Amino acid sequence: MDLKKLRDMEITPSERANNLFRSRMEQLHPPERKKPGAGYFAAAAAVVLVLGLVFVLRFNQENTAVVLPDPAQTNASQPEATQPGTTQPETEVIVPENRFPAENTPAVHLAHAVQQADAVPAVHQPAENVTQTAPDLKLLSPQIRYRYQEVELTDFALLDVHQEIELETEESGPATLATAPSLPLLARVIREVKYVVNGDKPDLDRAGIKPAATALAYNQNGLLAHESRQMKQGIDKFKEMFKTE
Amino acid sequence: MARILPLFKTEHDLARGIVRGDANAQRAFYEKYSGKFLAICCRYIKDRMAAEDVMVESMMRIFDKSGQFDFQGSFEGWSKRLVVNQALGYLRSKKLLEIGVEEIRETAGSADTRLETEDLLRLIQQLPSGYRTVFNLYAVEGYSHAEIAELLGISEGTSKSQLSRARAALQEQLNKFQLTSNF
Repeated sequence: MDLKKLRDMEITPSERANNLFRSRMEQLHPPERKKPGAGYFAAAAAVVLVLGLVFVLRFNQENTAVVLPDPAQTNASQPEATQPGTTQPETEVIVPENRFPAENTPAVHLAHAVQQADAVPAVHQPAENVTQTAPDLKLLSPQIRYRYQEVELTDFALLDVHQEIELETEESGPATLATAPSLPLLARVIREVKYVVNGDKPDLDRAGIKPAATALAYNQNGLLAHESRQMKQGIDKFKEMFKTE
Repeated sequence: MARILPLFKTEHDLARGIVRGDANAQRAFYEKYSGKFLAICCRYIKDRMAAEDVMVESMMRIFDKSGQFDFQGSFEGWSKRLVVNQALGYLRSKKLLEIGVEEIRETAGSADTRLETEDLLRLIQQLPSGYRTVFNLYAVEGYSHAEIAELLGISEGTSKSQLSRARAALQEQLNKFQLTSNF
């Protein structure tokens, strides 16, 4: 007898035996219910983060809308410099000398300029308006011209750092003030960091990173320029109402 | 049953997986050895379904007792012994393992006739339970009479006599089989 064959013989189990083995295996290894793993929480956190980021970005975009004075109001309050013999405009336009100390940072200059813009919106006009008013001022009395020449040109430059302002002076003729930052970007950023270290607010406009038109015009109270102007106008209206009554 | 990728290259790798309780290793082990183990069970147990039940129970017992394997010898051989014990336990539980205690002289039966394995298995399954068990343990599995005596709780002489009777009975059945096959 060939017993070796008998020893190595194999008989394929039936499907019933296989099913029996599977059921015994399920008893041995009961299927565990899947708990929500860290992946679920990570996905949820990612969704919340993305939504939050989108919300913050949209909120910032709404707040960084261009803030310019109302043209109607600026026209109304603009001095009529074309009428010779009247001295009324000079009090509106002339900026006092030594208004800004030399050690003040450009951001302080900008804040003062914005504050001044609240009182005199015509100064806050874009550069093209400045170039129009400058020849008109020449028609005024010599005193006005002289005082106009005393004004530090940087005060105007700070209102719009990216646009060139053309001013005609008697001595040198047309003078171009290139107030755009000539320093490299890294140097400008470092300068901004120094300002921030000194306690000043960062100003992307001053650094030449963000255009002046989109820069926020915050005043000292942290309010936007037009907001503070509207508040002042509201207060003035109340005062007039009480005065008339 | 679907084939499982050979994740376990060697027999001992498979054994380590089973010792760890790895379900993949257990399934792989079933895939590889269920046929052999069922053949062993069928040699001892006539009923096919009962043999399959015993085979599956043997698998579970191997998984349960795998921690006792010392990784010195063959894991397959160690497992086969468990399967044989499981089959013997089944026969005992069903009162099918009745071995006569009388000792008779050993009859030298010659069974050199070449048979197909299935035919031989069928002839063995025709033997009485006691003859079949001793014959399987001695002639097929390779146990000694001392081991058989210890395993079945009988004397060595009884084991030898059972083996002789088994051989004689097999010879007789073989002669009948040859006669029927010649005609």
